[in-house]
Amino acid sequence: MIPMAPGNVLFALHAHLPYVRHPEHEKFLEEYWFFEAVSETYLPLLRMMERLERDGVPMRMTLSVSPTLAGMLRDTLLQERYVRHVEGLIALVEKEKIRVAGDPALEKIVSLYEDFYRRNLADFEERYHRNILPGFSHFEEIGFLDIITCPATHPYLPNYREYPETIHAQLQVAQESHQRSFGRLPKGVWLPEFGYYPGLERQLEPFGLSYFFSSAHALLFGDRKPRYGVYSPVSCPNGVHVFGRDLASASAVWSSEKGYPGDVSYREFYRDIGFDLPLDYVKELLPGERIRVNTGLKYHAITGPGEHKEYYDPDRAAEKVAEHAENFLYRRMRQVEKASCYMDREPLIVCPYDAELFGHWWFEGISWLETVFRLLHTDYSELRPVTAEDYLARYPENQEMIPSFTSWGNKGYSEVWLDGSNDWIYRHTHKVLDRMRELVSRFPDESSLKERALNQAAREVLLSQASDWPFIMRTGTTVPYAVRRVKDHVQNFTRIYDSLCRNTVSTEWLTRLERRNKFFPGIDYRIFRDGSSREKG
Amino acid sequence: MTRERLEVLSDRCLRRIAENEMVAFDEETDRQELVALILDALAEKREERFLANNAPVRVEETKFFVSQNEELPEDWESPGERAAGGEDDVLPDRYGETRLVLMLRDPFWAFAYWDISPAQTEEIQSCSRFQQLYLRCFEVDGEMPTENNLIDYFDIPIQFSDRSRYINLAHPESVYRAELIALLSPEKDEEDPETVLIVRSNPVRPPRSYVSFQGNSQSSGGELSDADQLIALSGLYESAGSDFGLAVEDGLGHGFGRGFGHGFGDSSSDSRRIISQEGARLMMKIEGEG
Repeated sequence: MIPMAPGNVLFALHAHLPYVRHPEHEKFLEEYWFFEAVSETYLPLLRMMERLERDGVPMRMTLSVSPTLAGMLRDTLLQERYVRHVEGLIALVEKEKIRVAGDPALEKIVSLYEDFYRRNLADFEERYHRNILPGFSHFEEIGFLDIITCPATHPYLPNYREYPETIHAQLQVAQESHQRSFGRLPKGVWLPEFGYYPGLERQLEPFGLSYFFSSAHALLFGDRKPRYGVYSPVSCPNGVHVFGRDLASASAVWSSEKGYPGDVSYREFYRDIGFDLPLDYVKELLPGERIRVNTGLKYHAITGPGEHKEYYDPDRAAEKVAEHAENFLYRRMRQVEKASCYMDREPLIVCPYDAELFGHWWFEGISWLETVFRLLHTDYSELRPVTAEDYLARYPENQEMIPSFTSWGNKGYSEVWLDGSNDWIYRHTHKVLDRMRELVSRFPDESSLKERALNQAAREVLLSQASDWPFIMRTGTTVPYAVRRVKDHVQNFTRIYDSLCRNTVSTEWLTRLERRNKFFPGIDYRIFRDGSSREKG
Repeated sequence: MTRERLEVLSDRCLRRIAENEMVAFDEETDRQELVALILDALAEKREERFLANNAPVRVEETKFFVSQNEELPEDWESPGERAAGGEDDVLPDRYGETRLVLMLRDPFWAFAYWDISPAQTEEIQSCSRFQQLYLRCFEVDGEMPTENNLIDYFDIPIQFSDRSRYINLAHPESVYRAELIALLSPEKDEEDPETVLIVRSNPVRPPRSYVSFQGNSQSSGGELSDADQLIALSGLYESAGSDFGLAVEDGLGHGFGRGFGHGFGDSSSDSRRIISQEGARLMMKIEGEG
């Protein structure tokens, strides 16, 4: 048998949600984003790693956890609400067991969900005592994970390149949040939406961030021809390394049309009993009396195009998972074989994805990921799962280049976050930054009530910059909410700004706002100190 | 959006939705028909949005998909009620200052937004010689437009009520700046009109949209270098426009055209085709064996 060329594969998952927390409402629709992600992605990921640890299967993977998500995972109100939500789902499953009794196909599916949600509740309450962040830390300690950070509120950085002080503030908060969540400083950073512009790396270096990931064409269209294509990282002039995304493996996993998630045997995301069954039957789980939502109880397979959907068969789906994991690795090995012919080092295939792709969008995705790691251990040992630091430890010297301005959004640049649906926000979010500069200059060292107001102002500035808001405006899911959020944060900031200018801060209003938008309690407004000495991109 | 949801909304709300979705209806359109028209329009919009986005965006979008019913602005359903935050739902139209900001969107487009202070607006409008406002876009070889580094410029006539514009940029890798200028008619005894600078923007430099020919290895005699082979294997020739942008098609011709003097052989389009075909063959080979 001809020995296969050795290669490396780097899986990087980015777990992020925008900061959504509404204590002023008993239930709130957008908090369901959090509930779904915890149930369908984060807890199943932890269980996957537990199984691999139990079975002695090594894995190496990079996990990025955004500070806003970390903040929500630590928040006791959201933890309580999550427990209440899952208890509601379990109650609904109990009703479903009665309703579907006698139908073997449906009984099997309902039984799957009963097991799934009971385990989620047990893990969340008993295993992790409602805070799952230490769970991820454990897997970092045993070498399964390399946990990295991302800018605090997930801004699309190229649209703020003229404001180096906000880039600095975002990274400062990210670093401190990471330290609090995981007990150490991060070495790598996930740039939101892979939004990069030349010079950004100079702002990463002071925080000890030594690498980031980018889209493929950041390297391919860099100022020098990449010697190894995307099969090895490059080094910016200041030594920060850049790992370019592999397109072939991206397409295989991202695409619902050409990739694995679109297989007809897999669970259909868009059919849910929250819309299929009578409103009164599901109303206990709803955020409002007549607001239907997805419950997570989805009984149908993709089946094919068109309205008709077969019932989901978990066994059939499991067969497909095995087949697709094998196929993925076979193709990666062929890639490595080809690339090796032209390289004097082992090729690296970089596979970055949103974490929520696995489990939430692609229900079988976590099983697939687990199968991939098991196969890497048994059948594809020539392909080594690595982290960025692993590869850099072996190959510390890399081609120097300045990558190109890029993102992983549609058409590879800023179109998603700067188009007719959302371009209106920037005159406002830039204005609050101008005013924040002014506030920091006028109030360089405040204490007591003024300091609280300034800290809250800093919070509102950062929260206004979340890339999720323009993203949602473009994609059209919950547009009024996204618009509302940008307006709220700008208005909140403006009220604080006006109050400070008049030297009259309403303690009651400020306290209410602090309780509502309590992201990063330890924030210090001084992180926005004048950026004139900092590098612009 | 579901029919069930629409059917419980008020007539007023349905009409608001229909207007927002540019559905053609009149006073004779009955409720059921209006619901059907709205559903068709929303389905078409969803399809357009789906096609307008690439795979990562489509998947990321599902993080925020908790309901099949599009969220409606609160006052559409409950007119007269304030939004949940209790604040006025309006951001200022202007901030009373003069500024011009240029934001880069992609290799060929920038977004400009601007404002002119009330005082300056008044001053310009009250000037008897004032003719027209323009957004002037400079392409320069450097950061600031001077007499010596100006490559090109073009003017876009604008109104005082305009506040933003998307600007087409001709050439990646040049530097662009914009200016708001007021055109004044010539002074007495002068022939040429006068331009008055109101405000200048920050510079932007569009990115390259092709592979640089500066690097470790060059092709020669139509043979692909190792780097070129790896670039082809990286998916450059295979990816759809949604990953690299439509610019890639132009960029390949542009970039390789420039590169011909640096080792790719002659500058004929045949040489360019050889490289493209070789790249495509490599990818087809990998995909076929996968």
